Amino acid sequence: MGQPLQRQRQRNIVVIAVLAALVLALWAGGVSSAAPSGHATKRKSLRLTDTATLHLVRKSGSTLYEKGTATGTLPGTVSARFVTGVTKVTGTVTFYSSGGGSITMTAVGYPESAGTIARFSGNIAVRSGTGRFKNVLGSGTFTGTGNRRTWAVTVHANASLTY
Amino acid sequence: MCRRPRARAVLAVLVVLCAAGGLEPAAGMASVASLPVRVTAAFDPDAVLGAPTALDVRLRLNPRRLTRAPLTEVRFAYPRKLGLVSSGLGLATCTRPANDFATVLIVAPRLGGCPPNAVMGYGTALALVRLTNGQVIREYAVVTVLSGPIEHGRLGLVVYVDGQHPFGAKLAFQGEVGGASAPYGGALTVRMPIVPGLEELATISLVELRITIGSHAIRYYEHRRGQLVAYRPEGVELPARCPAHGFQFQAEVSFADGGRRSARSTTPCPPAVATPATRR
Repeated sequence: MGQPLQRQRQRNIVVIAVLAALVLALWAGGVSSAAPSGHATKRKSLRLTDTATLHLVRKSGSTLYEKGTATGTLPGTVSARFVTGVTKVTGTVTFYSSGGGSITMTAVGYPESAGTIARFSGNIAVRSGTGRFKNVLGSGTFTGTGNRRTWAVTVHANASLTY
Repeated sequence: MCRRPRARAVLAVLVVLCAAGGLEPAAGMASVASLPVRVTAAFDPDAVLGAPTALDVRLRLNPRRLTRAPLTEVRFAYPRKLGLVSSGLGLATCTRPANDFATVLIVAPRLGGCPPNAVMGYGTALALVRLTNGQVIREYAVVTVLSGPIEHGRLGLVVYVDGQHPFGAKLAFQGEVGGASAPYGGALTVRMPIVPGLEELATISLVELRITIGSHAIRYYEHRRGQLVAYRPEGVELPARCPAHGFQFQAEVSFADGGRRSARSTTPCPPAVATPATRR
């Protein structure tokens, strides 16, 4: 009589232990899986279509420093630094939105025509920003013209961004 | 005991190596004038960092130290930070028919018919013309470097050679401004195909080529308030800071027999600001 009772108690202990472990595991799992969704902020998407009109600030060797204004999705001011190579132009362009925050993009452009007004086109990659665009990411394309007498540059940029 | 024979052996090897020209000191002691190819590059005497300047390039070839095969290509590499594209040069393009580059143009208008706003540099050339009868004649020419159209993403070049004395042959050569590996930022390449029929009459050996990119003699024209006004375009842009080892240049020449020679030079940095004596 005593032995079956003792076995029954042992079984109950094992079942309780397993259940306790399952509850703990489920709770722990629930917490860990809930953690990201609990803190995640939904990223916003933005289709950027801007035109930047820039003028030369100064030159240093093959580098041009320019400033200007932007109109379009993110109107504001723009500053840029272009390194003019023989086969391509690389640059860093920062859009300062009049609504706050800034977006910095790197650009690689290729000349399409020579002459006083030179046409160029290329790709842009968005990797950093400030303010509301702190975590901005994106990519796009651009086309533009540059006056090689005055170094006035007009750039039309199209980019898909998330921030 | 063994030191003296070993020292003698080392000395003997050194003597043999020096005699064969296999050691640097032997090459370094050689007269600069006897080098097969020499290149020098100089800025304006009053050039300052962060401002445009003319770039005077001088290439000298020693015919006694080089093959007699015709020259087929000259490539001149310039420093990475030097602003050739960011200069005010080459605002128009010179487009010549393809067959112009393989013939001796007997009749050609001024600048070979190219617009003045395409001029990037002026210079001179001296060549030795060896006639088949053994006579050697020195031929002088005026050289004009012009910007050509962009092809395959590269800025084209047209080099117009206007023979002055005694033959007066007019030739056009095709070239391009292409990329170059560090420490160079780009290279001007000019190809010189063998002109059909010319090799049967004479062999031409280039002795000296001097080109001033952004020369003070260049005049561009633009419309201002309805009038055509001449101006001097800005030359090559110097960086605001000097490269660590000065401005390094390299010239490479190729010959029809496959031979290739190169030379390097370093141009010291101009001052950061104009001194009162040199200020324009």
